[in-house]
Amino acid sequence: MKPILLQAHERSLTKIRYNREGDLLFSSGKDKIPSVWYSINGERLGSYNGHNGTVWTLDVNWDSTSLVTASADSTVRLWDVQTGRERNVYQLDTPCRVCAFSYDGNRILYTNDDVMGKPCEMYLTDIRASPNEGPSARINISQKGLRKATSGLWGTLDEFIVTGHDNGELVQWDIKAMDEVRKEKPHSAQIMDLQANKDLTFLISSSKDCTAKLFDIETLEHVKTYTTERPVNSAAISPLKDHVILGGGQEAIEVTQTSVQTGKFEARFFHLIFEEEFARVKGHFGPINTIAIHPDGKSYASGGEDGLVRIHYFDNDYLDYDIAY
Amino acid sequence: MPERPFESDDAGKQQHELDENSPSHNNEHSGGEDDDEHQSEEDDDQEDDNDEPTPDFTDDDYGSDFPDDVLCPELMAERPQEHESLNNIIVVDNLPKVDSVKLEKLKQVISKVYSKFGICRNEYYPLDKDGNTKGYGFFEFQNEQMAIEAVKQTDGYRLDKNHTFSVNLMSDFERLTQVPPESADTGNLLSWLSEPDAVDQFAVQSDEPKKTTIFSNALSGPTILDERNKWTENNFVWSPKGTYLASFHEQGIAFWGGKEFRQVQRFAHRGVNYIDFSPCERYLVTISPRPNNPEAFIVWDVITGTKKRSFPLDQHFSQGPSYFKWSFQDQYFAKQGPDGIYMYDTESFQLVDKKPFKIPSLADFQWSPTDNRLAYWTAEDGNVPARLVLAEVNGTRLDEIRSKTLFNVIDCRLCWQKRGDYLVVKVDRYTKKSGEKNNPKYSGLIYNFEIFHMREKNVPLDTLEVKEIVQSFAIEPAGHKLVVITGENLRTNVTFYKMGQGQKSGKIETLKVMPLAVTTAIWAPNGQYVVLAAMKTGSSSGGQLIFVDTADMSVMTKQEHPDLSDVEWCPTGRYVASSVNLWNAKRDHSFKIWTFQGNMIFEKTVDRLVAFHWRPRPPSLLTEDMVKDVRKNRNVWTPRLDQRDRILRTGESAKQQEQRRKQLDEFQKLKEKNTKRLAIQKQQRIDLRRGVDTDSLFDQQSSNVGEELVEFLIKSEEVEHKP
Repeated sequence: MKPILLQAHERSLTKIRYNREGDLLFSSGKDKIPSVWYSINGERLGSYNGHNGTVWTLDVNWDSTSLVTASADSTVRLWDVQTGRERNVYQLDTPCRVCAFSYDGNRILYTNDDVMGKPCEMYLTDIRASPNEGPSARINISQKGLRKATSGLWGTLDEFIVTGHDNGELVQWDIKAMDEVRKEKPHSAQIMDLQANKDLTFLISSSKDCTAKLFDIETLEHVKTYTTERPVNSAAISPLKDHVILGGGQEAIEVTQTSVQTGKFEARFFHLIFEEEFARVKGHFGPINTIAIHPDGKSYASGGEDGLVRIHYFDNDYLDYDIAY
Repeated sequence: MPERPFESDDAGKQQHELDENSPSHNNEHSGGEDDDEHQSEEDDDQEDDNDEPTPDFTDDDYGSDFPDDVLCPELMAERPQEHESLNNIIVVDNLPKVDSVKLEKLKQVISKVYSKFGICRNEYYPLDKDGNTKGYGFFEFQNEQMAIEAVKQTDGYRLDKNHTFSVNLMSDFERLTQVPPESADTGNLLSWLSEPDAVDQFAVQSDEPKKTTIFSNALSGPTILDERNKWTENNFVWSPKGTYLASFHEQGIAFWGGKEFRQVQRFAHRGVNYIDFSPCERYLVTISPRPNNPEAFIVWDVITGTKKRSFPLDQHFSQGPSYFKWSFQDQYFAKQGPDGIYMYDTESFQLVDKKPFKIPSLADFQWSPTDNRLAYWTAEDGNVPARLVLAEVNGTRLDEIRSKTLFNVIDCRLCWQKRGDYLVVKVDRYTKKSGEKNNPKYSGLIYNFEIFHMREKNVPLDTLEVKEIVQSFAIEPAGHKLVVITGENLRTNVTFYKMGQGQKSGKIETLKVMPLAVTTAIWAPNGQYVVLAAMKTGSSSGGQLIFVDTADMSVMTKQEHPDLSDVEWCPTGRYVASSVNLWNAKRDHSFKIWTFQGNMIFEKTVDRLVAFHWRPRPPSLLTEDMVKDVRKNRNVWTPRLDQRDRILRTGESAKQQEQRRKQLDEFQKLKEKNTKRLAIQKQQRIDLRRGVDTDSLFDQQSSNVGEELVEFLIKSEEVEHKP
């Protein structure tokens, strides 16, 4: 399983994401310039220039026409995937942390951080409207007594949104009522990432408390827990097999004192149902910040603090392997 | 089981049958034996001044407001009290058993002992049907103080060699007999040894939360036998044969054992930091090294829980459990004193021959693990060279068997082989000495091994010279090999030597030299296999574990456990455990279990791991011939044991699969529910994506995989968009 190394980011990766078909891989990092790659051979297709700060996250719509990015430069930008043209800029007051496309690809959700005395807020906007019209909905998260949102995604049929917060809380918001309907606190530390499975029925959360947890997306009912001994930065559910892949490792701050061996920067494979770890993939020499599985489940990519994206195509050994039961 | 081991004491005191004629019944002051009356007596005990007076002494009609205590205090003080008689009586046990002729003489002797405490009102020696005394007696004093004083001063009084008094208050008698027979129902303390597959156990201690867990290392992986929070305050110790688990508490030490790890015994000694067992686990030494503690060291009898002797703190104590050194059959224990060896026997707990063995400039000594022999060395003193001596204990004498004079010695390390076949002494010597007298500097260091062949006639002596710095060495516990690790830091060599036997005695053969960066060698309990480990030292985190078979000197496997702090073989030699504890590493405290060949079979993270210890086993009951016989018939045994392993494995995996199937079924139900929901919502999803069905993208693709066209860019250009 020889990986393809994508070496374009000068600083650490923050988010990687496949489009729906899986032929494209989008990546963002602390170096301001998100990129897009052919996932099959790791060739860079282009980049999206314009941000003036760390790009915290990105998302691509279902027909791969638009890309949305959220940046620490206090803007959320909408791009034309094909041309790299900037279509819209949504200016906020503080750094933007979360952005995500709705299922129908017409709406985006984004949040900003609660710094400089400003509250953490969540915005919903229709991308077909002019940015001057302002967001279609705006929720003051801080005012609701909640902590800063660190990740978020759209639920079934665009009826609700789930956000993860920096105190480990998971909140479900109803879109019509624009209010929280469910609140759980499954983690004891910051939620780093939320990802849904392919058919949007399950949700996996990754947390600094060294665990990743699986939930029913509609009820937020806790189903499974995957435990490691290092902070988990990202986790993805395989669309092909009953597996999940976790990425993380010793925190970047402490890495200088840690050898690669004790930092545990491996991607870790767990069985979705039995919660047992059965494989690890080494390679990164810093913690893994983000993980994505190809929509066909036959390859996955990881982006690390070391500034590298590694695309791994699975050997047949993996595809044939299954835990006995 | 009792959670707090130190709430009541005196559990182990002896019990007496209550004789019908005992003085408490004859006593004229005695009120009677009815329970009700005893109750009221107890109330009287907490006498208040305005206590309700007894009718005999007050007369309400007389109109006096003054209680009798005020009116006639002298008289009232002597007021007979009903319970008084019990408190005044003492029971003396371990009196000589004599016939009626000698009884008078005995009475004289005993009354002489007790007359100094006050007037003995009444004495009584129960007789058996032949008119002989039964070996105990009752004595009544005039008041309670006298009786208490008598108990205090004569409990443990030595009348002669065979008779040491055991004295108790009669009033304590009931209390003592009422102690629930706790120790009786701990069951068979050795039941754990009857496990058919000789599965070993181990205990793991973590700090925060304070938790002790005992595992059974079954073939399919360790299973938890018992787990308790706050079982012990900081650490635990297994007894040398594994019978007891000792827990540490502020008030002392508690022993746990038997099938359910119930409390078996406790030893009240405040602030114990270390404990040490005699090799046959008959005695326990508790060490409470507080300054000026008159009872810093206490030697206990493990079975009865009684204190045998205590010792004050002295300047020869260095932190650690091994202050006393025990001979192999618990017969003697000895310590290093200012002018030699202080040896005590465990019959009288007195100095052997009532005086220490004078050995000037004694530096260190060690008992043989299999004989009443000990080895010691004396340091250089002026012009007197250092001496290495092997001596045997003969009654009250210490006879030298063999000795060697050594020059220019800095230090010696005495090390006995486990079977007592060899005594290996590492000698550090110098060629040049400079500097001041109190702070000498040595240069040109030479390292020697002096090897005594204990089992051969006249105890021949070999010398092995090593050129490099010796980091550590280890003798094969049952065999003739010696591993020496030489060199500095990570540039170390591991050398295997074989000590010649019989005619070849005197020849030391070098078997193999391996250039490996390790710090310690740990032999399997039965020899042949050895684990070479790199422990965490200074900047190097170590962690290498190299499994070597010394039969053909091959490296079987090399493994890793970063920040390694401890390696321990299981007592049967089948598994090795490596652990990382909180003293050595900041994080990743864990233990791993390997087979003797170095295959990892288990790994567990234990946050703030304090200690990992296998439960020791008593020595095998098989004789050497029987072991040989088993080895010879290996072809017979191997298939049987293999079959047994197979049965155990399939049983275990069946259980696991059962569990997995259950999990799978539950998850499947959840999935089905979701699938139904997805089917219902299908049209809505298609509507949301402008009439495109995106659910089955890959299903379609897989049907026409061959026709897919993939375009690649050959050249890429950055296009800047100018609005």
